[in-house]
Amino acid sequence: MKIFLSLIIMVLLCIPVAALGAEPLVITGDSSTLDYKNNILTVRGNVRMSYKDISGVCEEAVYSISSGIVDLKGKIEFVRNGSTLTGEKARYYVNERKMVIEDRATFIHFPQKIEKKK
Amino acid sequence: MVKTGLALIAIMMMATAVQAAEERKDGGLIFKGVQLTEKKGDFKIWDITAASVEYKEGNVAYLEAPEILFYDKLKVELQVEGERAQYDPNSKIFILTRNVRLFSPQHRLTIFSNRVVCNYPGNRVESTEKTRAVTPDGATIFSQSLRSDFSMQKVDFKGPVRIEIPVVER
Repeated sequence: MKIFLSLIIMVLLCIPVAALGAEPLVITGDSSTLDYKNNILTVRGNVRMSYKDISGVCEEAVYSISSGIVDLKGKIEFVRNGSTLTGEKARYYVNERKMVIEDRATFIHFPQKIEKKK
Repeated sequence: MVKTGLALIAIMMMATAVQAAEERKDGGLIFKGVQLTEKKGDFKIWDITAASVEYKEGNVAYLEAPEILFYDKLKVELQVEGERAQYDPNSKIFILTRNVRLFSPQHRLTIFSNRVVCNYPGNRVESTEKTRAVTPDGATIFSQSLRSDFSMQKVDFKGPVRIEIPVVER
Protein backbone atom coordinates (compact mmCIF):
# COMPACT_ATOMS: atom_id res chain seq x y z
CA MET A 1 0.00 0.00 0.00
CA LYS A 2 2.84 2.37 0.93
CA ILE A 3 4.65 1.60 -2.32
CA PHE A 4 1.42 2.23 -4.28
CA LEU A 5 0.87 5.58 -2.53
CA SER A 6 4.52 6.53 -3.11
CA LEU A 7 4.15 5.78 -6.83
CA ILE A 8 1.00 7.89 -7.04
CA ILE A 9 2.75 10.82 -5.33
CA MET A 10 5.78 10.49 -7.64
CA VAL A 11 3.58 10.49 -10.75
CA LEU A 12 1.63 13.52 -9.49
CA LEU A 13 4.88 15.38 -8.78
CA CYS A 14 6.30 14.54 -12.20
CA ILE A 15 3.39 16.04 -14.12
CA PRO A 16 3.69 19.59 -12.77
CA VAL A 17 7.52 19.43 -12.83
CA ALA A 18 7.42 18.58 -16.53
CA ALA A 19 5.10 21.50 -17.21
CA LEU A 20 7.09 24.01 -15.14
CA GLY A 21 9.57 25.95 -17.22
CA ALA A 22 8.19 24.43 -20.45
CA GLU A 23 8.91 26.74 -23.36
CA PRO A 24 5.80 28.58 -24.57
CA LEU A 25 4.81 29.40 -28.13
CA VAL A 26 5.59 33.10 -28.58
CA ILE A 27 3.73 35.36 -30.98
CA THR A 28 4.58 39.04 -31.32
CA GLY A 29 3.01 41.78 -33.41
CA ASP A 30 1.88 45.37 -33.62
CA SER A 31 -1.54 44.85 -32.07
CA SER A 32 -3.89 42.15 -30.86
CA THR A 33 -7.58 41.57 -30.14
CA LEU A 34 -9.03 39.05 -27.71
CA ASP A 35 -12.55 38.16 -28.84
CA TYR A 36 -14.50 36.09 -26.32
CA LYS A 37 -17.58 35.90 -28.50
CA ASN A 38 -15.64 33.79 -31.02
CA ASN A 39 -13.03 32.59 -28.52
CA ILE A 40 -10.06 33.77 -30.60
CA LEU A 41 -6.97 35.90 -30.17
CA THR A 42 -5.88 37.78 -33.31
CA VAL A 43 -2.42 39.28 -33.78
CA ARG A 44 -1.81 41.73 -36.61
CA GLY A 45 1.10 43.60 -38.13
CA ASN A 46 4.71 42.35 -38.33
CA VAL A 47 3.66 39.05 -36.83
CA ARG A 48 6.47 36.78 -35.67
CA MET A 49 5.99 33.34 -34.21
CA SER A 50 8.55 31.07 -32.59
CA TYR A 51 8.66 27.81 -30.71
CA LYS A 52 11.88 25.93 -29.96
CA ASP A 53 13.71 25.54 -33.28
CA ILE A 54 10.87 26.85 -35.48
CA SER A 55 10.43 30.54 -36.21
CA GLY A 56 8.59 32.52 -38.82
CA VAL A 57 6.70 35.55 -39.96
CA CYS A 58 3.30 36.33 -41.46
CA GLU A 59 0.82 39.18 -41.70
CA GLU A 60 -1.81 37.87 -39.33
CA ALA A 61 -2.18 35.06 -36.81
CA VAL A 62 -5.45 33.91 -35.29
CA TYR A 63 -5.21 31.66 -32.26
CA SER A 64 -8.26 29.62 -31.37
CA ILE A 65 -8.35 29.39 -27.57
CA SER A 66 -10.59 26.32 -27.48
CA SER A 67 -8.83 24.22 -30.12
CA GLY A 68 -5.17 25.28 -29.68
CA ILE A 69 -4.76 25.98 -33.40
CA VAL A 70 -3.15 29.05 -34.95
CA ASP A 71 -4.36 30.12 -38.40
CA LEU A 72 -1.75 32.15 -40.25
CA LYS A 73 -2.18 34.23 -43.35
CA GLY A 74 -0.26 36.56 -45.62
CA LYS A 75 3.37 36.11 -46.77
CA ILE A 76 4.08 33.19 -44.47
CA GLU A 77 7.71 32.16 -44.10
CA PHE A 78 8.90 29.65 -41.52
CA VAL A 79 12.43 28.35 -40.97
CA ARG A 80 13.65 25.25 -39.19
CA ASN A 81 17.22 23.91 -39.30
CA GLY A 82 17.93 25.83 -42.50
CA SER A 83 14.81 24.60 -44.31
CA THR A 84 12.20 27.15 -45.33
CA LEU A 85 8.45 26.76 -45.70
CA THR A 86 6.40 29.51 -47.36
CA GLY A 87 2.80 30.06 -48.34
CA GLU A 88 -0.18 32.37 -48.10
CA LYS A 89 -2.37 30.43 -45.69
CA ALA A 90 -1.37 27.92 -43.02
CA ARG A 91 -2.58 26.19 -39.91
CA TYR A 92 -0.30 25.44 -36.96
CA TYR A 93 -1.36 22.82 -34.42
CA VAL A 94 0.25 24.10 -31.24
CA ASN A 95 0.35 20.95 -29.13
CA GLU A 96 1.29 18.71 -32.06
CA ARG A 97 4.00 21.01 -33.50
CA LYS A 98 2.49 20.43 -36.92
CA MET A 99 2.09 23.00 -39.67
CA VAL A 100 -0.10 22.59 -42.73
CA ILE A 101 0.31 25.05 -45.59
CA GLU A 102 -2.94 25.43 -47.49
CA ASP A 103 -2.19 27.92 -50.26
CA ARG A 104 0.84 28.44 -52.59
CA ALA A 105 3.10 26.26 -50.51
CA THR A 106 6.81 25.97 -51.18
CA PHE A 107 9.35 24.00 -49.23
CA ILE A 108 13.09 24.56 -49.60
CA HIS A 109 15.12 21.93 -47.85
CA PHE A 110 18.86 22.21 -47.21
CA PRO A 111 20.02 18.78 -46.08
CA GLN A 112 23.12 19.09 -43.88
CA LYS A 113 24.36 15.50 -44.59
CA ILE A 114 25.38 16.32 -48.20
CA GLU A 115 27.61 19.18 -47.03
CA LYS A 116 29.36 16.90 -44.51
CA LYS A 117 30.23 14.28 -47.23
CA LYS A 118 31.96 16.93 -49.36
CA MET B 1 -16.33 75.14 5.61
CA VAL B 2 -18.42 75.10 2.42
CA LYS B 3 -16.03 72.67 0.70
CA THR B 4 -16.06 70.39 3.72
CA GLY B 5 -19.84 70.50 3.73
CA LEU B 6 -20.05 69.63 0.03
CA ALA B 7 -17.63 66.74 0.50
CA LEU B 8 -19.65 65.51 3.43
CA ILE B 9 -22.85 65.63 1.42
CA ALA B 10 -21.16 63.85 -1.51
CA ILE B 11 -19.92 60.98 0.57
CA MET B 12 -23.00 60.63 2.73
CA MET B 13 -25.11 60.21 -0.38
CA MET B 14 -23.07 57.19 -1.41
CA ALA B 15 -21.65 55.77 1.80
CA THR B 16 -23.14 52.68 3.34
CA ALA B 17 -20.48 52.60 6.04
CA VAL B 18 -17.81 54.94 7.38
CA GLN B 19 -15.61 54.00 10.31
CA ALA B 20 -14.14 57.41 11.06
CA ALA B 21 -13.92 60.93 9.67
CA GLU B 22 -11.47 63.71 10.32
CA GLU B 23 -10.75 67.17 8.98
CA ARG B 24 -7.16 67.83 8.01
CA LYS B 25 -5.23 71.04 8.69
CA ASP B 26 -5.19 71.86 4.97
CA GLY B 27 -8.98 71.75 4.93
CA GLY B 28 -9.25 68.32 3.36
CA LEU B 29 -11.71 65.83 4.70
CA ILE B 30 -10.74 62.19 5.11
CA PHE B 31 -12.98 59.23 5.80
CA LYS B 32 -11.58 55.88 6.91
CA GLY B 33 -12.89 52.37 6.48
CA VAL B 34 -15.35 53.33 3.80
CA GLN B 35 -17.95 51.40 1.85
CA LEU B 36 -19.63 53.31 -0.93
CA THR B 37 -22.30 52.32 -3.37
CA GLU B 38 -24.05 53.93 -6.30
CA LYS B 39 -27.39 52.78 -7.59
CA LYS B 40 -29.63 53.42 -10.54
CA GLY B 41 -33.15 52.60 -9.54
CA ASP B 42 -33.13 49.23 -7.82
CA PHE B 43 -29.84 48.14 -9.40
CA LYS B 44 -26.33 48.79 -8.13
CA ILE B 45 -23.90 50.47 -10.49
CA TRP B 46 -20.85 49.94 -8.32
CA ASP B 47 -19.66 49.07 -4.82
CA ILE B 48 -16.42 50.42 -3.39
CA THR B 49 -14.50 49.38 -0.32
CA ALA B 50 -11.55 51.61 0.55
CA ALA B 51 -9.17 52.06 3.45
CA SER B 52 -9.75 55.79 3.17
CA VAL B 53 -11.46 58.38 1.01
CA GLU B 54 -10.18 61.95 0.99
CA TYR B 55 -11.64 65.10 -0.52
CA LYS B 56 -9.13 67.85 -1.30
CA GLU B 57 -10.45 70.20 -3.93
CA GLY B 58 -14.01 70.29 -5.09
CA ASN B 59 -15.60 66.92 -4.57
CA VAL B 60 -13.02 64.75 -6.34
CA ALA B 61 -12.40 61.76 -4.11
CA TYR B 62 -8.98 60.23 -3.53
CA LEU B 63 -9.18 56.62 -2.42
CA GLU B 64 -6.60 54.46 -0.75
CA ALA B 65 -6.58 50.68 -1.34
CA PRO B 66 -9.83 50.74 -3.31
CA GLU B 67 -11.67 47.61 -4.37
CA ILE B 68 -14.43 48.35 -6.86
CA LEU B 69 -17.14 46.03 -8.13
CA PHE B 70 -18.97 47.19 -11.27
CA TYR B 71 -22.36 45.63 -11.84
CA ASP B 72 -24.39 44.71 -14.87
CA LYS B 73 -27.85 44.58 -13.31
CA LEU B 74 -27.52 41.92 -10.60
CA LYS B 75 -24.18 40.33 -11.49
CA VAL B 76 -20.63 41.61 -11.00
CA GLU B 77 -19.27 42.50 -14.41
CA LEU B 78 -15.80 43.71 -13.46
CA GLN B 79 -13.67 43.75 -10.31
CA VAL B 80 -10.95 46.38 -10.04
CA GLU B 81 -8.47 47.01 -7.25
CA GLY B 82 -5.29 48.98 -6.76
CA GLU B 83 -3.27 51.01 -4.28
CA ARG B 84 -4.74 54.37 -5.19
CA ALA B 85 -7.73 55.76 -7.06
CA GLN B 86 -9.25 59.06 -7.98
CA TYR B 87 -12.97 59.45 -8.59
CA ASP B 88 -14.64 62.45 -10.20
CA PRO B 89 -18.38 62.27 -9.44
CA ASN B 90 -19.11 64.81 -12.22
CA SER B 91 -17.64 62.71 -15.02
CA LYS B 92 -18.03 59.43 -13.09
CA ILE B 93 -14.52 58.42 -14.11
CA PHE B 94 -12.23 56.36 -11.90
CA ILE B 95 -8.46 56.47 -12.35
CA LEU B 96 -6.64 53.70 -10.52
CA THR B 97 -2.88 53.65 -10.11
CA ARG B 98 -0.19 51.38 -8.69
CA ASN B 99 -0.51 47.62 -8.82
CA VAL B 100 -3.91 47.69 -10.44
CA ARG B 101 -5.64 44.40 -11.00
CA LEU B 102 -8.79 43.89 -13.07
CA PHE B 103 -10.76 40.67 -13.13
CA SER B 104 -13.63 39.72 -15.42
CA PRO B 105 -15.66 37.01 -13.64
CA GLN B 106 -17.49 36.05 -16.83
CA HIS B 107 -14.34 35.42 -18.87
CA ARG B 108 -11.96 34.75 -15.98
CA LEU B 109 -9.54 37.21 -17.53
CA THR B 110 -7.06 38.91 -15.21
CA ILE B 111 -5.26 42.13 -16.17
CA PHE B 112 -2.38 43.81 -14.40
CA SER B 113 -1.33 47.42 -14.96
CA ASN B 114 -0.11 50.48 -13.11
CA ARG B 115 -2.75 52.82 -14.49
CA VAL B 116 -6.34 52.06 -15.40
CA VAL B 117 -9.15 54.43 -16.31
CA CYS B 118 -12.74 53.24 -15.81
CA ASN B 119 -15.35 55.42 -17.51
CA TYR B 120 -18.67 53.98 -16.42
CA PRO B 121 -21.03 56.25 -18.40
CA GLY B 122 -18.84 55.74 -21.49
CA ASN B 123 -18.65 51.97 -20.85
CA ARG B 124 -14.91 52.08 -21.39
CA VAL B 125 -11.98 50.56 -19.53
CA GLU B 126 -8.43 51.50 -20.52
CA SER B 127 -5.05 50.55 -19.28
CA THR B 128 -2.71 53.33 -20.32
CA GLU B 129 0.58 51.79 -19.21
CA LYS B 130 2.36 48.49 -19.74
CA THR B 131 -0.20 45.76 -19.33
CA ARG B 132 -0.16 42.04 -18.71
CA ALA B 133 -3.29 39.98 -19.27
CA VAL B 134 -3.69 36.31 -18.32
CA THR B 135 -6.38 34.17 -19.90
CA PRO B 136 -7.98 31.17 -18.16
CA ASP B 137 -6.08 28.73 -20.41
CA GLY B 138 -2.78 30.23 -19.23
CA ALA B 139 -1.88 32.41 -22.20
CA THR B 140 -0.21 35.71 -21.26
CA ILE B 141 -0.54 38.88 -23.34
CA PHE B 142 1.93 41.71 -22.83
CA SER B 143 1.10 45.08 -24.38
CA GLN B 144 1.70 48.80 -24.07
CA SER B 145 -1.98 49.58 -23.51
CA LEU B 146 -5.41 48.01 -23.53
CA ARG B 147 -8.95 49.10 -24.25
CA SER B 148 -12.28 47.36 -23.75
CA ASP B 149 -15.76 47.86 -22.37
CA PHE B 150 -16.93 46.66 -18.97
CA SER B 151 -18.11 43.32 -20.34
CA MET B 152 -14.55 42.50 -21.56
CA GLN B 153 -16.19 40.61 -24.42
CA LYS B 154 -13.64 42.13 -26.82
CA VAL B 155 -10.29 43.47 -25.65
CA ASP B 156 -7.91 45.47 -27.87
CA PHE B 157 -4.21 45.44 -27.07
CA LYS B 158 -1.93 48.07 -28.55
CA GLY B 159 1.64 47.12 -29.16
CA PRO B 160 4.04 46.04 -29.59
CA VAL B 161 2.33 42.95 -28.19
CA ARG B 162 3.83 39.67 -27.08
CA ILE B 163 1.73 36.57 -26.48
CA GLU B 164 3.03 33.48 -24.70
CA ILE B 165 0.89 30.38 -25.17
CA PRO B 166 1.65 27.31 -23.04
CA VAL B 167 2.37 24.17 -25.04
CA VAL B 168 1.50 20.69 -23.90
CA GLU B 169 3.27 18.47 -26.41
CA ARG B 170 1.55 15.25 -27.39
